[in-house]
Amino acid sequence: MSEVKAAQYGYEVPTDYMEETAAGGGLAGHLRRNRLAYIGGALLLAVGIGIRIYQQMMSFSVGMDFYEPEFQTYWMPLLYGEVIVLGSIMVLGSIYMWMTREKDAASITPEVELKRYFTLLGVFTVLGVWAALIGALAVESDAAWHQVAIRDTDFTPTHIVIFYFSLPLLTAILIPTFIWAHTRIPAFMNRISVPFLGVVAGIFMIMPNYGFNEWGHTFFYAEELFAAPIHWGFVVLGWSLFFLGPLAVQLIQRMAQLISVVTTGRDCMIADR
Amino acid sequence: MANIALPAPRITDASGHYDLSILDNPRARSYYRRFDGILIIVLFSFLALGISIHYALTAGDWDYWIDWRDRRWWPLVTPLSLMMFIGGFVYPIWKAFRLPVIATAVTTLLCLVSWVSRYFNFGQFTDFPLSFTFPSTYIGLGVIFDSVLIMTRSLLISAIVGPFLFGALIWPLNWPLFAASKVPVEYSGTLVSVADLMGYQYIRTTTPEYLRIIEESTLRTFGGSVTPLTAVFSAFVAVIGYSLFLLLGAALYNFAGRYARRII
Amino acid sequence: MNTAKSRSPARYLGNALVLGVLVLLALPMEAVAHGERAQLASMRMRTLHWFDIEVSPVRVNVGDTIVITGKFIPSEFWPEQLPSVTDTAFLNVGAPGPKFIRVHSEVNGVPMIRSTAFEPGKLYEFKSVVRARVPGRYHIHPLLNVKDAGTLVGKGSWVEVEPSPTGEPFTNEITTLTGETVDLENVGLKSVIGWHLVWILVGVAFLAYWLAKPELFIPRYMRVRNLGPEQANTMITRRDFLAGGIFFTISMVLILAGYLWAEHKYPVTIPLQTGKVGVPGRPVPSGPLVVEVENANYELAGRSLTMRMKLANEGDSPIEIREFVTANIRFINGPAAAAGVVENEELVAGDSLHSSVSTIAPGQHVDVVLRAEDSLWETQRMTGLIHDPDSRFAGLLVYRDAEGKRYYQEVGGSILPKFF
Repeated sequence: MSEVKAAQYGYEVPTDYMEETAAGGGLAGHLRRNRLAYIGGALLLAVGIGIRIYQQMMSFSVGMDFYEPEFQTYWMPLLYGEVIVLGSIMVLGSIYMWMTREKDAASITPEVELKRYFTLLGVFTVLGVWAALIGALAVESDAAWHQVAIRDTDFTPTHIVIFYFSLPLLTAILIPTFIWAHTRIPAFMNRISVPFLGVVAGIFMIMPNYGFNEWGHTFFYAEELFAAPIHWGFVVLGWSLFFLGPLAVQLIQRMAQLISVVTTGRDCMIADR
Repeated sequence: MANIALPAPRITDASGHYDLSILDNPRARSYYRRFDGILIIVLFSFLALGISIHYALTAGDWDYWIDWRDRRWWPLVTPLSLMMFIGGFVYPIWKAFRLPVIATAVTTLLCLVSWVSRYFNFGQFTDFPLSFTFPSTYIGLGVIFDSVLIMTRSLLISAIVGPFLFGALIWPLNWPLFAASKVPVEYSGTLVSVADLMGYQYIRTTTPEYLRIIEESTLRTFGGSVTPLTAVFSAFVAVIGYSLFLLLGAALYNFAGRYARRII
Repeated sequence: MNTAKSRSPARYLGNALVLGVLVLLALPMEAVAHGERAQLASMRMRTLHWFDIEVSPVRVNVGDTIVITGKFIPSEFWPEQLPSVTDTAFLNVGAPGPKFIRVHSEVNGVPMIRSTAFEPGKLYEFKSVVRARVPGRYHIHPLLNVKDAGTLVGKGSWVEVEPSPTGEPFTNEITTLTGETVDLENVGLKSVIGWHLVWILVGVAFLAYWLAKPELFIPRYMRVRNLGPEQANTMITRRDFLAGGIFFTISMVLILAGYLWAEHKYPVTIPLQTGKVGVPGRPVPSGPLVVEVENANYELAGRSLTMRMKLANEGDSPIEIREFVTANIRFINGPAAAAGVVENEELVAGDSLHSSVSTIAPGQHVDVVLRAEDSLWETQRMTGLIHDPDSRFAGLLVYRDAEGKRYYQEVGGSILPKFF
């Protein structure tokens, strides 16, 4: 195969490069190459649908009053579980990613580097599935809830689903991913991608904003207008996604070169004189 | 194996040019396609999350209930909210790829997530009928906006014409969806519209009548032309909102689109 | 082969999901009360005094009506820092979503479709009529939304809604002033869905045009870079320009067509209606009793509120202290049954009001120690009283004369806690 290409392109094409080739062609190859995205996505989809069914069934039945014993039985353990699981993923994941960091950037071959870019994109795809689920199922469920139910404590059912699980899950996975990328991918090593940091920080800011929201609702804002100024802090999450454009370009700039090197053995970037 | 220099700190500082013959390499192309597929999924799913949060918290109430969609506030708040979010994305996607798809993508994704959400959250979860909580549509405005960008090929001209049409046409675009709920009814001796009546009948414990931010009587309506006046003002507001966020997107791309030596 | 298949992880996952759903279904699904107990005790005591609340009937089928009646008096001890009921308020129903539709509501005979305002120290008699829509067991309350002060909840009652015996789905038909009869459950929904589908089609077609291009992100980025800012716009080809023009025209034409269609189909429309209505308050029937509260204590250990007050009977009939009502709790002097308790009534504490002097003779001036003592202080989280930054109380003192005529008036003042 490589000989053909060599004749066609006039240069030697490495044959052992491709994850693509290793995974094989067709649908099976596609699934194998993107197994992280498919398995992770399916897992989060199942978790998301499961917790949404739970919310559907348990909110109006046993979730309307924090001071009822049923609430303590059916909702608080879920909250504790969420905090423990997500906290562990974030802390242990971050520590693990840091402890196992790559010490020598020079030892990373372009093939490995490109593979890591696709791994990073795989994680983003999994989080994308989760993001779409939050957008479609979670965000407005909180609006629907508050506009019919009386706000009692910070632990309303929709909050236990959104603010203590759905949104922190993005942070819990993004922070270890951020560390992973900055310790494994040469373009990110020994420096920090500002757009990547912007996305992570913006999504993380939901938590402090949530604190402000609850503080404000107990102090000066008693109505349930969803578009009220007290809620505008949460918009930071939406706006932090403006960093996705520059982040995509950062990925593309490096991947364009890597793809060229990996497939042709030559860098497609020609320096200007 | 070629030695690849690390990318420049700023994405806009990248120097040199590409040997485009790589674009014809089938293996490289298969990588590109794979990347395209992934980026579309990632970008679109995060756009869906971003717009649903941004929109819910800046204009959500007006879109949840038909008895909020009046002719003075709804057509003003909604285009402003949408144009802000769209503005932040147009610059990088145009600058880097010359892809005029953001407005259509955002409005279409918002439409899809809104329908899922209204059905499951307002319908199945809290039992409101869809006739009371259906989403408005903005896709036509998104397509018009993007088409203006395509035809003018100018961020500046499209920043004036695109949002102007976006704000001005929002009412006629949605009128076929709303008109049925603006038919008059007499109830307990009071004149109400069908939408008001639904707002009264379908009990919203914590969303009282007075919470609605809608048109109230003023002494002067200038010949009753509230809708066209709002359309023009809305167009103006949309241009301002869009332009500011276009600049924000540009700033993020040109200045924050970089690698820093350290965090602080 | 078959065995291997049946043991696949997907199969296990499926089984686990089914099992999970079954476990959830088997759980008790009885709805609990609303979250009113989280509100500050002093706020619940000093905003609205709800009483005589009756919800009837409490067992209905879908489509049947339930009437909620009662009275409230806005407190004269309304917290200074809380936006007042004199600005804007709305009589509402506390229910977990529109399990009912409200077909009528009134205060002192004035229909309450719109918002209104109330005066402190006046009596308001309200009535809400709701029609059952979704089967289930619900705790429903009358409540008042007060602008910027939030929801102030009256006493709740459990009601049970059974499916309609004929199995008919719920409909909500009304006749408009243009003479058409529409079902509000789905009015206009068909054309809404139709127009949405049209626009989704346009949007998806537009996106497909661009995203189906053989070169997308990386190649386009490389080409844009090579062309430089001056030339990059040539990335938008003539074909793209043409397609943009077509999509622009299609959208414009569709918008115009939709607008004209709607104008033709619904020639008579009105703007949304809003505004406030006025409702006159009635005087509180306080009768001949003059009350002056001297001081009050809350005993934490004894779960009791003790009020010392000077009472003067200026009438010609002896007056008997009957009840103390605060935060929707009725503390009754004597057995509850004798106090006119309605079906399913909650928060009634019989034999919980102890008065040092039960009957005040005509012309008598007397110092009275009144003690409201019940575990409801604890279960309704009224003990939070001692943690409030503004420790004052208020409540309704209910008494009657020899003929059994009932009077009431508001009492209130500072409160000091007793910790031991």
